[in-house]
Formats: sequence, structure tokens, C-alpha cells
Amino acid sequence: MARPPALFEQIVGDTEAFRLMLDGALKDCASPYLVWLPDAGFLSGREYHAALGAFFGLLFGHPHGERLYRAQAEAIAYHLDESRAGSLVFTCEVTGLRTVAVPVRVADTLAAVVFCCITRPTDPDEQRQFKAAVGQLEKTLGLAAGQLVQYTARLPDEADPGLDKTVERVQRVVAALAQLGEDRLALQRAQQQEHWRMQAIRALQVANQQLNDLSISWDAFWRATARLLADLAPIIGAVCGLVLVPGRGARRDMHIATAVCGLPSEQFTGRLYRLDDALLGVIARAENFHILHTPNDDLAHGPVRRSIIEQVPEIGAQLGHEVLIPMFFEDQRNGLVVFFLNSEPAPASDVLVIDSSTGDSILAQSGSLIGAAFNNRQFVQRRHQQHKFKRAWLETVTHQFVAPLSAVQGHAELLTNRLARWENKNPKLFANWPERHIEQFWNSLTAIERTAQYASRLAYNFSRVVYQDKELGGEVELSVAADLTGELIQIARDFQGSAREHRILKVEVDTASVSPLNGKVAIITTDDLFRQAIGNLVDNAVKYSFENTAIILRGRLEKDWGVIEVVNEGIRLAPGEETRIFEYEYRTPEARATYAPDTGIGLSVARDIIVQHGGTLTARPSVPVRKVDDRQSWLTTFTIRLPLLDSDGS
Amino acid sequence: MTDPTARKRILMVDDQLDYIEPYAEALEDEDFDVTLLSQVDTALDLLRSETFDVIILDMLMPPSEHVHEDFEDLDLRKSGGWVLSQIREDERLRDVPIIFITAVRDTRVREWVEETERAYTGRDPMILTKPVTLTQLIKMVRRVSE
Repeated sequence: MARPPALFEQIVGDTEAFRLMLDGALKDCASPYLVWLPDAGFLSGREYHAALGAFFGLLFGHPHGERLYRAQAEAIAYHLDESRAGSLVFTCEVTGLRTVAVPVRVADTLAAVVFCCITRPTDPDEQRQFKAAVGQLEKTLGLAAGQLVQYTARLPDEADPGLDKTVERVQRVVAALAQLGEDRLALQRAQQQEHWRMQAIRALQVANQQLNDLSISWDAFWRATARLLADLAPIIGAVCGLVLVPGRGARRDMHIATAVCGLPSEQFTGRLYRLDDALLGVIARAENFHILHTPNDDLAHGPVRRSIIEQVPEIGAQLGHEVLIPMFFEDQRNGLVVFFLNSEPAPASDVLVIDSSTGDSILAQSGSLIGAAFNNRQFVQRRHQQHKFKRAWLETVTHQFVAPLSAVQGHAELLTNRLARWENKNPKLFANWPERHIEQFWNSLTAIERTAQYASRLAYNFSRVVYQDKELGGEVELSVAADLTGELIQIARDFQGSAREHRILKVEVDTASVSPLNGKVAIITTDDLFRQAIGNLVDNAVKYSFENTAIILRGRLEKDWGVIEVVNEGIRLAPGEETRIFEYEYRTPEARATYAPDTGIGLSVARDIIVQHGGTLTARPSVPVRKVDDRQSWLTTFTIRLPLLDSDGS
Repeated sequence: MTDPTARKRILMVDDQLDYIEPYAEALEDEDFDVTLLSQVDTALDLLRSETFDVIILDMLMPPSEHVHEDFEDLDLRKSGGWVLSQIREDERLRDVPIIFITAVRDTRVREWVEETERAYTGRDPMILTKPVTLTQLIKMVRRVSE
């Protein structure tokens, strides 16, 4: 199993590289060295001094011996750390040897102590002290008398002139190491901060998708907001967080907690807070976000903090600084995201540090994300509401137009039917009428019927054009057209009257070609939209067909499509105009010359409806058919492609 | 026992009688016995006391006095969906064919009618969208009254 990295390794990096650096610096030195590592025992030079190696070998070979020496080393390290000294010369109480201790400080952290210039004392008093210490050590370790002393014979004495240079060299190596360590720590910190920043950005990205999903309810929106808070809290070292939204109406002066994390949701969601005016002023003026350091701050005991301390004292006890992030709403009301950081700050490596380098912008993003998503939802909701009113109004207007027109059409049809029946019973009914007048009479009746029908169609087309905001168009119901043939026949029948008036021979459905499509395509039944689209095409064909021609509705299967074609013979659709005719209000010059009163919206509406089916509506430039009385007639085909259903009807 | 030779009875309800008169007369011409009413409550009373072969309803009519004010949406209060539910609630009237003639395309109103009819009868409602030709209506009435 891999050993977890030691503190020294974390700070400085490679221990072995440090040993090599010291070996290089001290290779000419007669004295050995030892490095005390707070978390990993002692490190000795590779070219370990023969005498001292044996000396310390015996010392460290005994568990109690190492403990004794370690206690001394730690005491020296503590002293160096406190005194901030660059080095310390001392006599080791355990071994009686003279030693220089050089601290290794990296970013104000004592990472190690180098013990070098280990010498025999020359001063007579100190020699006695040395001998007494070694004698005691030999007893403690259960060694024979003189066993340790023999190993110190080859150690330099403290008068050795090379020792000062040795200390200098060690200090240079330590300084270089400290610089390397600081660079390394800075890199590590940057990497750790980058890691937390990425974590926070990921949380924001997920929240961005969830909060801007306009299909979710407000409850789901606030739940997603609470999830964002819960994701961000551990990243910035917060104990808990809340989103406060300004109230409306009677609650105008209050803020409502709409999303919480780290707190009991049922206790805090919906809770009302009256925030300090001074705080709201600060928030309103803040350009992005503002951190309040709560100790010694007037707002330290603000209502939110108080409520947490009262309601959940165990969490209240952990509350440290508040991080306040404003959310600006489009209606000039300011909301607020509040995070309470832990009163015991986490190490910088464990959290995203909130400062101007990264933390500020991340938190500002979280505030603007929630605010913007809130604004978007309100905007869309208002548009939906306006759209609903518009649609309702339009429905009413259309209804008011169509209902009497339908009655006019009915009366005309009734009169036509009755007169025909009476004439049948009594052939002399119109005996005294001139033939021309009789024809005018019947024509007028047909015209009333047809005009009423046309006006109704126009009203529906008008309402469709006004109402064709696809984004807000609402759901439509698609149903499998089990009897598409029957549907088309019904539409064709609706136009028999106006076809007769235009002296068109027939509006006919080629049932043999259409029947393979039955049950294979889906049509929109909502608002009879399919009928309206086909009706607009047939209506167009009736207006622009020549006398004594036929209008044919035919079908076919074509790969993944069910194709319906409306074919007529009449005026020309010239190349280049086959796309323009679907533009709103566009009419070809020939169409304008042929049938003045048309509006030019029928084809545009038809295509819009077919696209809503997931299909396409196209036209082909006309092809010449024949000449009658020097007038060229043209065959024009409008093609609808509807996606074929799978065998299971999906 | 019903006399198979008797004229089929049709009840037509529309607050704008002028608008459905031609349809009523056309049906009369086709030998149907048509009763025209403009008020929902009168129609419901008549349906409970007499027998009709087909009912033809408008989809938006002034609401019944018995419609609960809880309907915030006025259009739904006026909807034929409510009338339909009152008729279908009566087991005797559950299978009487009902045809809606309407110029209303409001999805909510239509959906309510559709859901109500499906809930009570398991069938889709019969809806004719204006402009409706006399031929269309006569054909449909003939088919459902047979």
C-alpha cells in the first residue's frame, strides 16, 4: 500500500532531492548532518559519517534512544520556530555533542531542521559534560561503558575552521529549498483553487440548465436553486445558505426565504425576514456582491442569523462570516443570496477562497444566474398570460364573426334546397320569370352561400395569422388519420358550391391513390387545423382554375413520407414564384390580375400548419397543358409531405 | 316501445336561435322533429322529462344558474362541457348522441368537452366546426339517429 505523502514532501517535494542538495553542499565537510522531519523521523547524509553513523545507529537502534533524541530535536525546532532565528548552536542534552540547527521554513511553516556541524566539545567543562551525557546514554541504552564514545573519536572538534562555511552552505541550500517549496506551495494552492473553481463552475452549469428550464414549476425552480446552494456551500466552506426574495403586496417590506441549504427546509422555506434598511442600501449599491464580516458589525445579529441561532442552535454555533450576494430583478427589487461561512475557517486547500481573484466572480455568477433565471421565468410567464388573453380575445372575435356567417350560409343553402324542391314539385314556379333572372337568382343564392363560407375561412385564417406565435402556440393534438380519404372527401365537398360558381367541373379525391395513406399519417385535430390547411389549398385552386377543369386531390407513399397533392389547371405559377407564394401576403401578378379580392395569407397559413405537423408544403412551377381559345392553361401542383408513422402508430 | 316509423326527435340548444334556425329548418325538411331552445336549464329540464333521439348543442352558451361560481375561467363556466356532464350524469341520457356545432376553437373548452365525453362514454365527442353545411349536419344526424 502506498504511503500517504508526508508533510515535508507535500511542502517541499522530493525528499531525496533535498538530501542530494545537502550532500553536494557538505561533501567537503568533515561533519555529518541529520535532518529532522516533523512527520517522518530523521534524514541522514548519503555519505554518512562512519563514526557518527555507528553512534546514531546504536542510538536510533534503541526505541527509547530515538524517542529521547526526537524529543530534543522537537524542542530545538519549537525554539527555532518561536525565535525566528536563522540558526542555533547548542549542546545536545542526549548526546552531549555540539550541534548547529538550521531551520527550513517554507511560507512561514517550519518544514524541517538541519542538524549539522556535529562536533566533539573541546572545552574541558563541556568535555566532562559530554562524557557524562554519553555515559548516561550508554546506561539508558544498556550499552557497555565506552561503547559510544569510541565512535566520536573521528569527529571534528568545534575549533574546526570549516564549520562556519558549512553553516553558510547549509543556509544557502535551505534558502533555495524554501524558495522552491514556496513556489511549489503557490502552484499547489493555485491548482487547488482552480479545482474548487471548476467544481463551482460545474455546479453553476448544471444549475443554469435546470433553472432555465421553463417547463418546470416555480416549486421545482426553487428546489433547483436550493440544490445550487447545497453544491456551492461546501466549496466555499459555508455552513448554510438561503435565497431571500422580496415580498409583494402586504409583504412588500419583507424578504421571503425561497430556497435553503444546510438548514431544515420545512422550518426556513417561506420564512419572512425584515432586513435592515442599511443592509438593503449596501446591496442596492453593490456592483456585483458584497461580503460582510460579521464580527464587530452592526449587522452581526441580523434577523437571518438570529433565526438560525434560535431555531437550530447547533448550526447557529457554527456561523461565521456572512457572504451576501445581491440578485437584481428587472422590477428593481433586490433579492439576496446569503451564505454563512463556518466560524472555524477551513484550510485554504479545502475550500474556494472568496477573494477578488476567483471567489468573487463565482459567487457573483451564482447571484446573477438565479436572478436572470427568475427574471426570464417572470417574463415568459407574463408573455404566456398576455398570449392567453390575446388568444381568448381572438377566439371570441372569430366566434362572433363565424357564427352569423355560418347562419347566412345555412339560410342560403336552405333557400336553395327548398326552392329546388318546390320547383321540382311545381315546375311552373318560376314560369313567369325571365330565364336570365332565374339564372341571376340562383347565382346570387350560390354567391351568398359561397361568400359566407369564404368569409368564415378568412376569419379563421386571420385568427391563425395573428396567433401563429409558435413558441407560445401551446400543445396541439395529433391523431392517426384512420380515414384520410374520408377527410379529404369532406373537404372537397365543402368546395363543391364555390367550384360550381367558378364553372369548375369537379373537386375530386383520387381515392385509390389516397387510401394507402389511411392510418399511416397523423393529422392535427386541434382547431381542425389539418382541414384548414387543405381547405386553403383547395380554395386557392378554385380561385385560380380555368372553367371546365378539374381539381384533383391525390396521394402516394414516398419513402418516409405520406404525400398529398392538390392539382389544378389554370393560371401559371412561374419559376421563382414557387417559394414566394408562401410568403405572407405575397400574390403573383397573374393571381392579382385574375382574382382581385384575395388577401394572400391562405397559403402562408397552410404551410405554417403543415410544418406544425412535422411535414412540408411545397409547390412546383406550372407545366403547360393545353391551349383553349388562345389561352394557355397550366398544371400546378401543391405537395404536402407528412411523416409516416411507425407500425405501432408512433 | 318506440315506434320505428315515428319521426326522430332532435333537441337543438343554442343561445343564438337565429344562427341555428336554418339548420333546424333543414332538419325539419328532412322529416326530423326539431325542438329549439336557447337556455341551458330549460333544455336540461326538458331532457329529464322527455325523450330525444339526438341532441345538438352549442359549445359556448350563457352558464346555467346551477354552474358553480368556482370556475374562475368564464369560458369554462359557459362551456358545453358542463352541460355535457349534466346530461351524461343521467344514466337514461348517457347513450343519447350529442353533436356539438361550434365556431369555438379554444383548446381548453374543447378539451373539457372531449375529456367529459370520453370519461362517460369512452367515445370521442362529435364536433362540427362552423361553417357547417346543411348537408354535413343532416348526414351526421341521420347516421347517429339510426
